[in-house]
Amino acid sequence: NNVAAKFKAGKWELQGNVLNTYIHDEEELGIAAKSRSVFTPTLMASFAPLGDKNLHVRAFYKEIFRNPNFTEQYYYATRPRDIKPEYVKQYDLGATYARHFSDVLQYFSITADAYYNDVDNKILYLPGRSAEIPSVINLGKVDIRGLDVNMKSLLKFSNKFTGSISAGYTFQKSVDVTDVKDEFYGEQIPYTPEHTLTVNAGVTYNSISVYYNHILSSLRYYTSNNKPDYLVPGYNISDASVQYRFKAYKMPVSLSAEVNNLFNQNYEVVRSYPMPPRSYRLTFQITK
Amino acid sequence: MKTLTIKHLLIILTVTAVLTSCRKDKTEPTPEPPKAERAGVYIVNQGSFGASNSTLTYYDYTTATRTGDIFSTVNGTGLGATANDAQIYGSKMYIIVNVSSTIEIVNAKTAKLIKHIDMKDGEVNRQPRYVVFNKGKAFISSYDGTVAVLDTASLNIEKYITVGRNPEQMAISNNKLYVANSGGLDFGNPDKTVSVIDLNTLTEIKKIEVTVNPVSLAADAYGDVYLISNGNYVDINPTFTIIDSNTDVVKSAAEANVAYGSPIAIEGDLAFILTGDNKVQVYNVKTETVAKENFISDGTAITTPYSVAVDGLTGEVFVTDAKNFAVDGELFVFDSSGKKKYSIATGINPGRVVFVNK
Repeated sequence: NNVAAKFKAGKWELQGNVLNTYIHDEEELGIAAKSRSVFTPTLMASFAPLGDKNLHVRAFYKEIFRNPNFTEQYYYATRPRDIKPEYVKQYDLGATYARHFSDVLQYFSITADAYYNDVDNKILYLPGRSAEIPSVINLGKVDIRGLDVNMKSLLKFSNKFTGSISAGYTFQKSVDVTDVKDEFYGEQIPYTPEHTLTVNAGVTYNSISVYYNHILSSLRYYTSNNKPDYLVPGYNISDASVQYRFKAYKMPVSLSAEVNNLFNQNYEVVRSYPMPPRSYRLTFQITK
Repeated sequence: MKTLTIKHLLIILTVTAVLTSCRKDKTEPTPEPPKAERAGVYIVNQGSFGASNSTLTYYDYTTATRTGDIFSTVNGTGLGATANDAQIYGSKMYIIVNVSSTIEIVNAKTAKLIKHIDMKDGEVNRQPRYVVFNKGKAFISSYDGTVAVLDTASLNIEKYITVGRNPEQMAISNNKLYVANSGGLDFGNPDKTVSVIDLNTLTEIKKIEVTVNPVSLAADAYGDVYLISNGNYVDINPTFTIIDSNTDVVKSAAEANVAYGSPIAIEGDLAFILTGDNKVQVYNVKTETVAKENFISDGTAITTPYSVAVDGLTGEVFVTDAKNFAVDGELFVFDSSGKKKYSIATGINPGRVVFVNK
């Protein structure tokens, strides 16, 4: 259930809404989760400082209520899980600059958001012995300070030759601030890297496209203690692919060849589960 | 000479005096052999559930320094998955690693590896759990229903004795080995017996019926064997049972509020047992009554008491804290009056404390 309002005045725009979430679980065998009715408000302000609609600055305050999902609540290994829902108070300040040009650079946009999340009972997945039944716990109180930067650009070299580059970077300092007496107070929570970066680039000439992707993740720890004993190393993975689009029997088809993990890196996203080495894939699709 | 002259008497007197004074030195009591002195304490950390990160933490008393994982520091390799027990016998320490199914026999003072044994039955892991010693033999219980007999001189396993299902802790009393058969790997259908093994013939002579899911066993100096059964988590509650080792019959069995898998640490007339409400109960084994509801006298709170040990030499009581079972634990050391002396960080799930002498 949602109630929303919007208000516009000159360079300013204000939005507000209140979301009500009502949850009721019933179970035949065993224990159902508690029923809840929660109100979470959001307040957002956006303003164009140069009167130019290319640049916007915005700020918002948002309360988020996330109930544990079905897997988190009921897929337990030995006894019912007492998982509390997550409450987040999010404060955000950001800016977007987006513009069309009539040059080789056709379009460029960059967005930056700095945010502070005050999380109560953060729901955390700890990979367990089997993938279907993970261990899910609540971390009492987590403080998250983050920065998201996203860039997107479209290029046109000629009528037949176009390209695009986009990139996203996230900085996230998520620390456990539940109990000052804990040894790991103020340390990064499990499986959360401080830096992540994705880059996508592609060029298209007539019917042929070439793409390149890259993912970077900095190191993580698999327990709450940020000690070298519990380190899971970061990784840098690149993929590349070539795509050929044509018509076969008047149907739009595409044939693509991709190389994943181009530089054959040894890496793990989850500790003790090594990811595939360099691999190749050929795809044929009837599509546009 | 015909007559004793004074000169002769004087010589005899002098010689006698000298001889008797020498003899006096020889009859002085010989000095007592030096009392054993503790060098430090090992903590066996089980590691995370389903992971292979067991560690052996060592705290040196002389230098007051802690080594997070002395096993890998000294041997260049990890302990493996779920190191469950370790005991010192003679000059060696025997570390039992349950999920990796290995026994690491190391030098007790340096932790340097002497022998590595893979506990397998053909290709199947036996999954060893605990070890006790008697007259040069080590007895190792394994989840596959056997007790292995290892000769501590040759370091070879000589025999496997079949007991009940999923045996856990063991105790020796009256020249017999008592084994708690938990049956705990068969959820919903636990075992409910204690096997009695004759230590002369090394065969099982009897099974005593007890409450379901027996795990912890210890023997006192009065011929009694104490057992904690954990029940079935539904309608049968944990029980504290006393077995008379003279007759191999259950003397008494009463419901008790105990922590799962708590060791029963017996030192002299007192047994220390971890309770289900995070206390350290003191039980008098001579009078068979509870001496103290909580040994801890200064209000120190332990999040999740996991194991307890008593150092008979110093009277100190060691209690480990597993916290939330996923992070590094802590070892609390209390003096004999129940006041906390100090605490040190351990690895994940500190399950066993072992004292090593200088």
